[in-house]
Amino acid sequence: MLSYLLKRLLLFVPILIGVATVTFFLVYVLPGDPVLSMVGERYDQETIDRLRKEMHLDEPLVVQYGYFIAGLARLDFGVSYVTGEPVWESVQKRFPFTFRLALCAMIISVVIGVSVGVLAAWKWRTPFDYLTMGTTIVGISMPVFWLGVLLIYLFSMKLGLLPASGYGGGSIKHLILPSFTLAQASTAYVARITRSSMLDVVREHYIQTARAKGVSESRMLFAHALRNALLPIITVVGTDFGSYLSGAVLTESIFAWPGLGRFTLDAILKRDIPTIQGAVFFMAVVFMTVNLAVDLLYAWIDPRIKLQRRTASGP
Amino acid sequence: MKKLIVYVISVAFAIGCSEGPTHDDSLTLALETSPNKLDPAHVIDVAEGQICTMIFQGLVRFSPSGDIVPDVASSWTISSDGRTYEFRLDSKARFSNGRRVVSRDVVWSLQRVLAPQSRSSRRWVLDRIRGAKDYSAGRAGVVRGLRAVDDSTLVIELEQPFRPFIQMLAMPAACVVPQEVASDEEAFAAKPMGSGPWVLAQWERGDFLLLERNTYYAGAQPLLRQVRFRIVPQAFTRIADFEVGSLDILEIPLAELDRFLSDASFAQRIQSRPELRVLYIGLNNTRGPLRDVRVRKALNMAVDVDRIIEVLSEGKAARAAGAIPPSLGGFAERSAYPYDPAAASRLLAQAGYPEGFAMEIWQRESPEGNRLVEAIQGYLQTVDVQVRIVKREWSAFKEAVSQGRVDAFFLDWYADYPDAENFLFPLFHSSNTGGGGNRAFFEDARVDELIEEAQRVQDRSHGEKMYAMIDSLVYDQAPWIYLYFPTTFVVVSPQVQGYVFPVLYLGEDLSTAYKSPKGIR
Amino acid sequence: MLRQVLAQKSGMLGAVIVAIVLLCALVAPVIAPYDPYAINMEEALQPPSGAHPMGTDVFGRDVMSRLIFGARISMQVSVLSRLLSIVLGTLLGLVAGYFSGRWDNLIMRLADITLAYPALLLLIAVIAAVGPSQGALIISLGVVGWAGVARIIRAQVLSIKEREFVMAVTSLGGRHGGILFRHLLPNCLSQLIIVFSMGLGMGIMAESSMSFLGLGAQPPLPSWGSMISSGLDYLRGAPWLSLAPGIGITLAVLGFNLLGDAFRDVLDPKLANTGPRG
Repeated sequence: MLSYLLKRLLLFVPILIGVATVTFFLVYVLPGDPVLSMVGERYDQETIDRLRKEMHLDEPLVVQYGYFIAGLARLDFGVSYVTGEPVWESVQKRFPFTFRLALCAMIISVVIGVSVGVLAAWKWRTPFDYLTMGTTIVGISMPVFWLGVLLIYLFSMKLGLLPASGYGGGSIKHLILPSFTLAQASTAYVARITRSSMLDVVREHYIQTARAKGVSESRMLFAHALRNALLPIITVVGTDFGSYLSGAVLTESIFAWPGLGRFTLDAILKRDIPTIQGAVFFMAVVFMTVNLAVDLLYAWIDPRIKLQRRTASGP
Repeated sequence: MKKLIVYVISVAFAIGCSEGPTHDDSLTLALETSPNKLDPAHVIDVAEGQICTMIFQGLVRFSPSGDIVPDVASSWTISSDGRTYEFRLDSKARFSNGRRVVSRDVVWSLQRVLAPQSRSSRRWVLDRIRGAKDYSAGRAGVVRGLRAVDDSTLVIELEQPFRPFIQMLAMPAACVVPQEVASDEEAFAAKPMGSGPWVLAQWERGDFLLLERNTYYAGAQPLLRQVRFRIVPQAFTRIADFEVGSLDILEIPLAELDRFLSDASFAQRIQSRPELRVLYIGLNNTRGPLRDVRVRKALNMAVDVDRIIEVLSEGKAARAAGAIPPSLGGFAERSAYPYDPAAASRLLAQAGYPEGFAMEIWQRESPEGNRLVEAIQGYLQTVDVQVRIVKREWSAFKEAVSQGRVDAFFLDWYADYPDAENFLFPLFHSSNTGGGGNRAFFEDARVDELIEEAQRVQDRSHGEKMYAMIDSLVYDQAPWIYLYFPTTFVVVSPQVQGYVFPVLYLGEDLSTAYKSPKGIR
Repeated sequence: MLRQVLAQKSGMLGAVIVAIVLLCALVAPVIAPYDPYAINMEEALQPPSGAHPMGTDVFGRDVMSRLIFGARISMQVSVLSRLLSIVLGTLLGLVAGYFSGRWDNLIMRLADITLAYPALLLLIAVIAAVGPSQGALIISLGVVGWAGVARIIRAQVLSIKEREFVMAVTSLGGRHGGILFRHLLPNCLSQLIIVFSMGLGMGIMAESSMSFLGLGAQPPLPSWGSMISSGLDYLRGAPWLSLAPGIGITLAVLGFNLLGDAFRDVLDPKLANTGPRG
């Protein structure tokens, strides 16, 4: 177990260097001079040249890459071109907002998704089943920005129940709309996967006997079936959690949520190279950590699963 | 496991439920994006400028009605040759740490912007001071034209007389900063501190800025205790926030203007200002068909600007027949290019393009710009000019446009100070082609000469007559497709009283606004 | 296979929706009541009526006609980008699975890097800089999507490589190319159909998200996402501007999801009833 963990962690290194390198060359190859986003609409060439020199932008690409890798080794991404703040600090300041939103979305998708899925399986082929399965597939098909707008329109503007946007200093009221918006797709997906995994068990082995033996037995059956659904649920929720953490850009912009996604979007639009590099790097670390955690969780829940499986053949 | 779950839930739902009750004496406004820097030396855009001038003081400032009024300086005299300014400083002026503002602070602050190692891109605001350029280049240890005579007397000398200079002293770059705080650039950037009516109490990037009143402020204390600027990127969300009462003042998006203006319950609460801002399609005067003045005129005649104003701005904008906005001295009524597609086609044919031609219009992503350029694309289509719209983010846009690599571009120009010189010199003087502001690459020796002469003129009305003449000369050459001068509308919530929407964004100080607890409808 | 798909109620519904969307895309000029590009400022912001069933936009253009033409853009972007992902992913996945060893390692690490990258932000960064256009969007979406496909194909190859018929061909001295394309590829076909059909809905969604941010097809092209984002400005006064494309996207994605589900149920019953997730 421990050696496996070490091996996986060691694997982080080349992947992260890869991610950082791709980002480095990407932002440098693309057109647009980062210095120009630091000055107003009226500027002179002298100022531009001076700034470029100070930021080492006048040096050959290889040398710049050297600076970059040297900084990377110390986890130092430098200061933002645009705000002048140390990048790594800003990233860490913004991450908790994203984390909180992602965590809530994850809890919602597990709690609601599993409950709906279990009920739908229980009420298999009843109107409830059809209704929820219909709703969930529509839910999966709805663009997240569109849902967010509809929710604001309904719950804030029309009903006046919830605030429209903002972090609100951490109030729960402000959290509800964005986290439901973000959770929409995975809630629907968890519901469907729960239902179908349970039905597999029920249909395959027990359906006749369980029905015959009455409620208490079928309750056990459902517990068994639910365990069967656990692994696919973890896969879904884990993957989604990882991607929520690496920036729910659309949800965060619509709800004016001060998270990492919007932070990175702003940096991209302002051509703030150090910030883009730092934020993308951080997101990659988070994403891989969550993946690793999911793998470990797998092994813990079902020791029969060999840890190497997912790494060897993909999810 | 149970503990873990409890922990997870508590993190998710319970952290930081610390937002206190919103006070009746606090006001909330929205900004589209977070200010990047509030250090006056680095302030470059509207949102930054607006907040910066609430926190800092210059020697002078703009009143809400746009006039130059005393700030740190209580009075001043200008010598008859227009080159020497002598300021008396207000002995009551205090930084928010309680220290008195003295003339050495002003000298230090201005030199900081001009210093050789300064990273400020706003040197041009101050480089007319005698010896400023030598100092910037490292050829002199001090700026010769800046002298602190005693604690409350300051003398500024210019290389050349320049009438708008007193207005430039109200710009952020000329604000006074405390040396003991600002000499540590990084700390100062994170927590800027000045002597204005407000103190920056908290700055959560991407979330909000919180200003509290500066109890040391020498002028009249603001009536409100706090002002909060929230960062809300989407226009739709800002409207929703205003409607549910989370915002007290809303800049009305153009698309919503009709609804707000036609609703009688808002009528008493809407204020507006014609902006010192011109919207235009810059035509690169050195590229392809656009070199021909007949083509440029034809493009102006092919676009029904009046109709565009009516539909996209609810008629609330002034058509531009020149670059100088109507509220500035130097504006003159003249007839705009008529909307006449048939005549435009004839002109194009005369110029040798009977079949039309293709060109690109570059723009930045913005809802207002998107609609405008799309409408213009539609109009130009009718005279067989095929427009391809190219969108780029700001730095790529600026790079290409300033290097003259594009045919045409949509841009606007905001006045830094309310003088027509700020439109004519940067936008049309040949020394400013490219990054200086003249991105149409318009070059005309006579226009250059006249602008230089007008800058030196001391007599205001004479100068303004010259501005009008220059503007008209340029208009006849049609270096742009002239669009319009927009008007900005704000609506305030019923509780807010006493708010004055300033004529210039730099004049915002919110000190007269207050909230009545029940609200008066 | 198609008959089995259509035998399911949801598959049938999906097929009908997809057919409508495809029809719109293919013969848009024939069925659209108006020219979707013709600006007519006199008729700006007309509410839905007999003449304009979905009203007109701020330039007086017919929203329904734009919606119909918008299907073209959505389909082009999603089909082409998905095909590109599949071609890249299949090639690399086949190579990785078949040759193992160093190649496998290299390709799979590249896949790890791609997957660890925040995809939407990567797309935004590239497109914001090279300039948004339909082509740029197709290529970036396609390239970003290769890794997922490659993993699936590689897993499939690994599981059939050891089977007798492949071993037999190999031992008979079959050439690598022949084995890859004649024997391994056909065995990945059902996986590919699932990946492709599941991915189309995702592609439409991605296109609309990028256009919503202004990074997709450029005006005057009527992309659904950009119709929503410009319509949102008028949500209170002219809700039809954003409602129509919003419902359009949801329905189109729904259609592809239902159809994709049905395909998967038929081709790979193990995964039945779970919904799309290519």
